[in-house]
Amino acid sequence: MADADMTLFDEFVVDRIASLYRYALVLTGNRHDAEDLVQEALVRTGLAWRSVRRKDSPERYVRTVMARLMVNRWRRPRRERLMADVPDRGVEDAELARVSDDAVLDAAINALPPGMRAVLVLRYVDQLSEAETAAVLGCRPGTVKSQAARGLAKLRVMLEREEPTWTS
Amino acid sequence: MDELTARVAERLELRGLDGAPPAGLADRVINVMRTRRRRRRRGAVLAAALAVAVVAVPASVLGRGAAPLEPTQTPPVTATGGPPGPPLVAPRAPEALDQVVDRSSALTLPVEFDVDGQLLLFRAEALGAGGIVLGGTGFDADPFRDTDRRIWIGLPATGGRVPLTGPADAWGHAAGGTVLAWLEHRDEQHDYQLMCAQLGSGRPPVQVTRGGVQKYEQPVHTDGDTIAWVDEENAAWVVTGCTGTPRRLPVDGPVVAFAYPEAFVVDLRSGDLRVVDVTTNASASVAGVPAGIWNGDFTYFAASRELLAWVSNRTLMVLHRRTGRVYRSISKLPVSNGAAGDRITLTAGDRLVVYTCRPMEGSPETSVAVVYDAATDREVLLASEAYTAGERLLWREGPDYVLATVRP
Repeated sequence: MADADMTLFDEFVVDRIASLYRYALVLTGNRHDAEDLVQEALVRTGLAWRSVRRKDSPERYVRTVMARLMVNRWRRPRRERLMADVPDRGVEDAELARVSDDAVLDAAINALPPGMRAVLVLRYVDQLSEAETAAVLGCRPGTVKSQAARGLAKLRVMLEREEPTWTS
Repeated sequence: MDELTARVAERLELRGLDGAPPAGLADRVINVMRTRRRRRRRGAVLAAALAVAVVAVPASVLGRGAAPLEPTQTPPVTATGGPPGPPLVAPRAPEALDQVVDRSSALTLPVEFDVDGQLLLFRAEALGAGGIVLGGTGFDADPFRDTDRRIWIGLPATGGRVPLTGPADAWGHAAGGTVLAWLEHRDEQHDYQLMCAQLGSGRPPVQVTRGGVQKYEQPVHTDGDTIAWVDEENAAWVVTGCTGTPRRLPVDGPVVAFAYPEAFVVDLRSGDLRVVDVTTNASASVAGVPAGIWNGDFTYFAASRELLAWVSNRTLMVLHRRTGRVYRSISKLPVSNGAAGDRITLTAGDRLVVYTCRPMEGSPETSVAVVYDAATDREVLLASEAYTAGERLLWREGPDYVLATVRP
């Protein structure tokens, strides 16, 4: 890559790293994985920078790469599973109950397969349509619909109970 | 957006709100990218040099009349559309399995088969009591890859297969004696509807439900010619034959097991397991099953005429259905540790209960199974998937699925 291109890429990274890191946090739910994910996505973008920099939104390209890495079983070192603290039973105060429910929901979201989680982010945080989500992930709209539905169904079942139980 | 999706969106967004990247991340990215770019350039130069060297090798080195060097044959792309995985290892079924099944009755169904020159990999999903195997191709693939997924009937008696569907977004297979059932995405109003094929009818599969089916891990159950499922409102239903009129059961909740005429339904209000006679609509609690047994989609059940079993928290319990007497509890069940999670299947036959754990996505080579024989109180651990129905056991052994009858 010519020096001028290299400089442009460096500037892009410095300028957008915070925003992209936050998106990686949304996708992965923890700082370790977010750091790995955004680094890998940006490196891949850098290697394709000559064509990427001509796109309307290089940042959107990086976000697409991140989402695709999530669904393509991106291998990363196995770390201990980071979970929200499970609350004690018998909560009565409404505010505490709400916090407990949020913790259960956070843990349940973390337990979803990465691809399923990526679909939920694209559909309900980025508010992409099924067709747009499918285009980002390179799959069929039916797959997006079924992955989103199955993800929400799993979360709904988890919230129907008071404590999560993990099978592995 | 309903309340749950709004909450999910809110929790996901909150993750990114306070996220400042770690110090030096931008510099690390830039350095890693430059290193990789340099390595790539070096590799390209080497490859070019090798190509030149190959072209320049004199004919004398190749030997008189030797054919020119062939390019390295690229390995065949699997039906998954991705690079080939590691070669299939042929585990030897432990001798203990030979004490459970009659090997002389064994029939094999090769995993790989050719369709018009295309090599497909068949994956079993359900075993019918009559020895029919319901499964599919393309199901090894990542669900985000656009591959040709089809449902097939596997016939170990002939080693052949019959296609049931064209490319379909389908799962949740269940095989009874004369009906086969699965979920399929059919229209935009519902996620999945129930499909049924009647063996021996000569008719194509039919859609049983207009409404959607709830997407529990084992969403559909069959025995004989009767199918049981739960709809998106958690109402439990049964139908006899593919074209019968569905009847609603008196207990609402997921149908988690079915051994005709009894359906096992979880009462979602209490988490208790109820048994419902689908011919009389009488319902009762289940002897020997603790109250509040339901642990969401992480509890798996199976039932046959004599046995009831469930798996929760990696522990298998097997009971005599009528008396509630405990046959066995097996804890710390093995898992396949799939990168995208595990899929557990529990099946019950006349005297076997089989727990199978497969990776959610990708190659099933890390699957494991525990085969428990209630008649001898023995269990066998297999390094493969396995399923039981009636008096039969199906398991994977090297390049084949093997179907055998249980020893008397």
